[in-house]
Amino acid sequence: MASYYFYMAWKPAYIILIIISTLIDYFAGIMMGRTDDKKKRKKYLILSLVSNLSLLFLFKYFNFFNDSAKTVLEYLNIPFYLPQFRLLLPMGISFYTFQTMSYSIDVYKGVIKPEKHLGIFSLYVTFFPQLVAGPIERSENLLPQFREKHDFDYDLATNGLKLIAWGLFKKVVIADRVAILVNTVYNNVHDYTGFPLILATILFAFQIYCDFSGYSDIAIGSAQFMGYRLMENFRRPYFAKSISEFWRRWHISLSTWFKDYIYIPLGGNRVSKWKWQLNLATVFLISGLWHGANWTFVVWGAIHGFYQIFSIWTSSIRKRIVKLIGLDKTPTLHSILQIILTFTLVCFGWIFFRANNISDAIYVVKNMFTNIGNGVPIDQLGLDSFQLKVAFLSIGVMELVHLIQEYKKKTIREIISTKPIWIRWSLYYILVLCIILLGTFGSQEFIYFQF
Amino acid sequence: MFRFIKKTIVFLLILSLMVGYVNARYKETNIYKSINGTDKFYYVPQNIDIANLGTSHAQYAFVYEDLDLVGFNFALPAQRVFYDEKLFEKYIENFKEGSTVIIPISYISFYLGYDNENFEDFNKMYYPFLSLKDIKKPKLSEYLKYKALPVVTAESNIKYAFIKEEKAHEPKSVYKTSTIPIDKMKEESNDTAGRHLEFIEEGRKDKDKFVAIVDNIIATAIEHNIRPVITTTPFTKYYNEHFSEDFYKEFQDTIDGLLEKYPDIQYLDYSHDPRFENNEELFFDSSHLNIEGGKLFTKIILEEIR
Repeated sequence: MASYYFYMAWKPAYIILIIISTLIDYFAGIMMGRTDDKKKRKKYLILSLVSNLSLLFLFKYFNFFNDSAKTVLEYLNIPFYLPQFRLLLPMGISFYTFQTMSYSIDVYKGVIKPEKHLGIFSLYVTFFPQLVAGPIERSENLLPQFREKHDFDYDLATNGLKLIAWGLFKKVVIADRVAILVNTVYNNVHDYTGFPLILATILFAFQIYCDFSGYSDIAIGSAQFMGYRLMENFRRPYFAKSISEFWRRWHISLSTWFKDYIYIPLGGNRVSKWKWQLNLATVFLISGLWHGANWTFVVWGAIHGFYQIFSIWTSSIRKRIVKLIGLDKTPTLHSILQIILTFTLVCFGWIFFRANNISDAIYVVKNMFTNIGNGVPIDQLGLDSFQLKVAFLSIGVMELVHLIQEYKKKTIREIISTKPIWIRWSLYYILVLCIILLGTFGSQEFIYFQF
Repeated sequence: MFRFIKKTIVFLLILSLMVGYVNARYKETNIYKSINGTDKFYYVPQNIDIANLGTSHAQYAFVYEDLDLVGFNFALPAQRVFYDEKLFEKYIENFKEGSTVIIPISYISFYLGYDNENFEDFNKMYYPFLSLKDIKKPKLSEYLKYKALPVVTAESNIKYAFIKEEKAHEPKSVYKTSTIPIDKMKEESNDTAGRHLEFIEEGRKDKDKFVAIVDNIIATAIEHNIRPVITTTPFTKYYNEHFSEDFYKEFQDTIDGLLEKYPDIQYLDYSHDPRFENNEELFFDSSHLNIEGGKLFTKIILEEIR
């Protein structure tokens, strides 16, 4: 009930969509559980997938495909008209439809037994900490937890609160602050050349990471506070040494969903080289489209698909180059260069993700290295010098924390918990004071809420 | 569970003290006091000889600097009569016995309520120095932002809670020194008067309520042995020509009706005073006096009310 109330606080009428999705998938699961006939089970699976994808298509993609088809057909002088749907995108629809589809597919494959208790299944679909922006939970992880007794656990509760605080720090101190500069530049790209475009792109990389991982931390921390364990969704993605590693660290719940339910069923990498590359391209194009009904997201997905395919083509050449220049003898330097290169490639992709349209993205790419020294001063891009210092310092602190976690292979909470009480409480106070005193409490929504 | 609750309470208590301390330091800064341009309310003098309420028309019309008496200008942009009343009640002890309070009535004074589109923009001015019960249509977010916890939204200005403040944040005079060319003044008068006529139409339903509030201000003044004077500040002919004779008659009749029970109270109407109406150089726009106009007007009205 609390989860339904949480969702209805946004737009009460849209609860009907979640209820419809819940009932169809519950019914499909039950019916699949009652028969061993593969054909019948497939029918119920198709019912679940079609209903979820139809909802997603109608609310998220109909107008996009309508407009795109209209553009193409008009160019070919073929008259075309379909009315636009003026429907608000239901919050979290991309997440909960994927979550319920994963349940249906797992029941079909026999990975889990269907959930017979409608209340528990409804809770699986609408569990409020992760309802609107993930992590996209697997039924085998989450459903059993709803049957367990959850007594108050001091360690889980305090860890949950610490994670919430860390998530809030990333969101209101970093993400919402740098968003001001990013929006100033990216909403008026044609007013800028050179350094402002580069800076806004790099800061967007941190904005989207802090916004999304901050939300995930708050979601995971909230669930942990109540005694539930959700999956890790981000693992220091900007420390990735390759694009494929980046996708093992970024939005883990989505990338594993695509791997398990699209990439592997298509054959994964256990097919011919060309089919493998096609599979990669397909997955990343769909991933781009999942993020939004705009060609910029499709291009972003295509760029990452290209990166993956290019890395396959050039794998042996790159190994030879590394050996030739002696980088294999300096693994630390090699790792640093790999991290920097991967971050650069990811930032290039973010240009298309953030730009308002393709022509703005192309403008950014064409102009980010022109007039570098003569651009607008950095403190006239929406953030004054104090705000910039806070932004850079906070990003520095966050990356230092990440570096420690990467090096020690432990969470910072685990590391801090071994320190004396005065150190621990000082750090907690500094963190919370930073949130209260340095947080930007304007009207910046979580970016991934729009998906 | 008990251990958790105990630690949480201790944590929150210490946190509140820390935030409270920084908040208190921040509220002492000029930058906080000057939010919304209301820093003058931190410097309301004692033993006031003369003061005025009113909207921006009065804010620019009364200039007490360089005068040999203690004067204070309580007027603020788009100030509603219900805030005139609350400010007067709040600072009534600052008035000397036998002092004077000038109650300026503009053409819009009886019609400006909280349904007008600009109400929210101006309402936030009052949180720092009026109590919450006196604020019309209060919002919790604005109360926190402007009164209880302004440090949370201080952004870059939070540094002044700890370091010396820049001179740029010292209280400044609001008066305008210049005027504008006549063609620009005519253009501006079209916009301003147009807006004011809309306010008048929107506010007609509440007119009697606002007249009653002004009545109450007068009664309160008399009760405290403070002499009330009603006035309408000068306007240019460009502003006046947008208001019909019928409206002006209605305006006059309303004030006459209000003052029926106060036959000894002066009403000084300078709205069409030829010393001002035809002298655009005394105004910075079609309805607001500049500093020269304000000094002249203040001198004239002080002589008339002596």
